[in-house]
Amino acid sequence: MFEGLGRYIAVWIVSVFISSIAQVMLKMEANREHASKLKEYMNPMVVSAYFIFFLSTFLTMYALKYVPLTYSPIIEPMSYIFVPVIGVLLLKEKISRRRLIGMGIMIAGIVIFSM
Amino acid sequence: MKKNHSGVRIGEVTLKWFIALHLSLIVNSLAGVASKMAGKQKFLSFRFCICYGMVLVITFAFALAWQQVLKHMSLTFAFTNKPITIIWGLIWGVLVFHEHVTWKMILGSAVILLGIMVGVSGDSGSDGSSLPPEGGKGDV
Repeated sequence: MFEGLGRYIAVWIVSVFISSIAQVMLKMEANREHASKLKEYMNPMVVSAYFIFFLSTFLTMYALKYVPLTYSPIIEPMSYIFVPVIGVLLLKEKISRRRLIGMGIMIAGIVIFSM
Repeated sequence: MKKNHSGVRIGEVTLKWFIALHLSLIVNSLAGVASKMAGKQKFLSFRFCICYGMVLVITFAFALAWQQVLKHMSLTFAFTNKPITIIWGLIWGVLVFHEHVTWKMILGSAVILLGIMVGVSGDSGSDGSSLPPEGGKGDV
């Protein structure tokens, strides 16, 4: 498992996954009250989230060294699955039925793409 | 598409802002091209720095453009159009890097695009809380 190209695809998925976590971190911080405008940006959560985005650009670049760019339609949209799921786990957000249907269609698309 | 006194409109937006939206999405998709070019260079070489710098500049430019575009349409409309970026990834892969693409890949991409649009279009967009990621990187 995860040999050759698969390993680089896995790196790209990890990149999308950690940036999805960062998105939820930004959302968590946005839900909080802040003493000043400056503290809305300069706090550990937001700074860490932006650091994760920065890190993910390197991971994506490393993966793209070998993974064709034509694979982006199946990897990048995974954030549309990761973000809601992480939102449910960490923020107790609900996933609408329509969104679940959308996710199902996406997964079907990923299967067709990979066949 | 319908025409009224304020010019051509597509759904809720004017043609001008619809084009602006899609131009900004095309620019955003180019970050993937720059990223792949950077990945092919020797780490921290001059060419690497130029390519990686382009990734950052494109991402930042997109964030600024996206903010302007959002002023002229609802979040739902913008996010329903945003996933078209994945198709650009497919196109750039073929045109710029001469990558191989099959009919299954094209069909799969179209189905994924439909899935995202179905999922996103149902949101009310009142606070954008359940909308997908915005700005930053890694999202489409």
